Amino acid sequence: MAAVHANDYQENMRRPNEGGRALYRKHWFAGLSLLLLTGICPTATHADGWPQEEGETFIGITYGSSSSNEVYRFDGATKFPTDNGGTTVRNYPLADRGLYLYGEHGLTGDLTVIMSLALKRSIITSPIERRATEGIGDIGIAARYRLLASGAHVLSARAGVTLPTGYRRDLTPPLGAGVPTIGLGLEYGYSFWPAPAYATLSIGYGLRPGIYSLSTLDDPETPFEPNYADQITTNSEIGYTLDERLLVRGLLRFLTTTRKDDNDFDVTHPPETERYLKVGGGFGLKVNDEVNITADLLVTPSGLKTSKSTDLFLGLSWKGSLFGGDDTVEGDDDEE
Amino acid sequence: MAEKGLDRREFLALGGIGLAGIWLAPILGGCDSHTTTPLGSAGESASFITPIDRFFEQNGGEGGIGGWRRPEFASETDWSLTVKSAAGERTVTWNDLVALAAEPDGEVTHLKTIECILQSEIRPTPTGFAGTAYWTGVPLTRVLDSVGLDYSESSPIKALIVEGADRFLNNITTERLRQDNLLPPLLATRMNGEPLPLKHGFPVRLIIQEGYGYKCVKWLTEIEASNFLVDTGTYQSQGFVNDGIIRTNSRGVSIFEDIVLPAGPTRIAGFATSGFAPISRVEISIDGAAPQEARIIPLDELTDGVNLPPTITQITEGRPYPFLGVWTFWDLTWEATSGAHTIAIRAYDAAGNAQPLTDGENEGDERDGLTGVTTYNVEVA
Repeated sequence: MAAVHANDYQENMRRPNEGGRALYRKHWFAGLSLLLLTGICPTATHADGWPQEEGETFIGITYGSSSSNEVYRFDGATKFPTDNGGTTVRNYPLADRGLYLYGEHGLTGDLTVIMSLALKRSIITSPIERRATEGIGDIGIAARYRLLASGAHVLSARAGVTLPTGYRRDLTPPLGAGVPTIGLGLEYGYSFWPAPAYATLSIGYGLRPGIYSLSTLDDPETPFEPNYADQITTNSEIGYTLDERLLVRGLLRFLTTTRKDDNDFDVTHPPETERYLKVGGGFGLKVNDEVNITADLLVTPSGLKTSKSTDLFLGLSWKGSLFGGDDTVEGDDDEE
Repeated sequence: MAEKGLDRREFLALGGIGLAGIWLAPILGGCDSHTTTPLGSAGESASFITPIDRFFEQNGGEGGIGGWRRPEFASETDWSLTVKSAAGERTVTWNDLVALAAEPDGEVTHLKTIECILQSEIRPTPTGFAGTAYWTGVPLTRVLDSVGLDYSESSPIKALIVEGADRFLNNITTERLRQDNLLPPLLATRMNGEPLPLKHGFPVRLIIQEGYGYKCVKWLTEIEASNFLVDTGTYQSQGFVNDGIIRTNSRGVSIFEDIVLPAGPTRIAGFATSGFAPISRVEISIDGAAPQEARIIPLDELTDGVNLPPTITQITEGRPYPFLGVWTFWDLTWEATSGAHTIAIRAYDAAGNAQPLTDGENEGDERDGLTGVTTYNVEVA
């Protein structure tokens, strides 16, 4: 197994006639995790394990659409979010649309820096009005460091922070919670090589201190500083490549806050506590050695104080050497 | 060398923009834009009788009772009411209630607006946390009579603590039970002629004519007699006023904050409610000008095409409209001119109660639902 370096994901998914060329990089999809909270609370953790090669850059742009007809209450029952009054919106009263930019760059073979940015449009529709807020949501800066690579296994640590960008947190809807999230996580990956398949599992902790200086208030006279609970996230994914070109994968996302409460879901602001399970799947199509397109769909079969959303993501990404190097990453071919 | 990606330049450009944005964003100090688009059209009114499927649901226990869950009764016969007093404990079954209803005049129907005390603070829909139905059931006094509970003036019992199956608590004085100028509190089993829906208290909900929603306990399963005038109640423990009588209030239906209205003659409409006395007058002041009196929309105009049952107590007793505890719709045609305007609404009831000019008039009071004259900032195109 020495020839197969599990710490290089592309090795595990390589195309036989293009030794060392990545067929699919897991990183294509990492940016999707930013979308999974309907844009409210981006997480700093991702289901991933493999860092980028030294000097290698990944840039992805993903369109995300998250729509909800119902929300989960604190007890897990569902209700219509604006079902209080003379009429009720049945045509997706809660919606998020976003353009998510995501980049990774390998500083060394073990250390990858990660940046993300969300351009969002959040919409809440009640029977009498539609409220929409758009702009730059949270930005994310993180690093992944490979701790261990052994055979088909790889284990990385990830640390990062998402920061509000000065948006008004007391708007309905806001572009985010208005507080930074400090994320720490472990990411494990396993390659089924020679089968063209992989599996990943990550667990992360998102600390959400009550620091509000990076967001603003639309109404400065009314304090608005919710007590957001910290988050624990678990993401897992399994993928299989068909005909060296089409990746099919299944996704599972779980998030829970470290405390619960029994207040009702508040449609106007992000919940202080939350829990959800999202499951879904999608595919990735390799256009050429550098460009991929992806499509994923997730649903929310259970949750507490969260939207019962259906999330659709369409992604386009490029990967190569941004600073003029050879785009072809030979990796460990010589060893194979 | 492998073939270059066709979209590389685009990706590099996009990536550059994105990365630049990451570093610039915190400097921008607020980079969101916000829009509010009205969906309702000016001049619309809510229907006088709110259809069940459009009736708001607000459960006080959700925020006030740890681990709250909506009670479930598989059928009416699973329900029973326990009446506790110094004399012992008595149980009223569903069949007992049916038997009482079958007696002459055993069942009555009241028009009643359920209005959450929070409705003046939360306005998610045209009517907010308010809706009107006709409620059919057995008067509470008949049930108490059937179990021998003495609520007369000479009785030591001063109040009843009422509790729902969800542990939501409230109280009602025995003095109130004896007030014949008000409609008797009702153990309602039907809403708009239909069996009470689960989310509105199936199978039995207490309906108190003058009370906010929290006085009208859903899923009523227990009554405990007290020799004291208590202030027991889930909402009372959160600072809401003990008597729970709907304060004289008003609100717009066809107008709301930041709505954009057309220029020219524009009908604005809304409703007013009071639990003390029928609404007598609604005044509208635009941009601080002298108030104009809005038209109280007649009942037959409101119910045009709606078949109200002839058994409604307020009608059979010939009570003049507006009715106490029932929303009263008003309207006013305003010659709207382009620009920003402030519309202020003030309601009065026949007992002389008026909305205070400002919330501050009641500073220090318990939370009673009053927030001063209702004001909307609107834009005329």
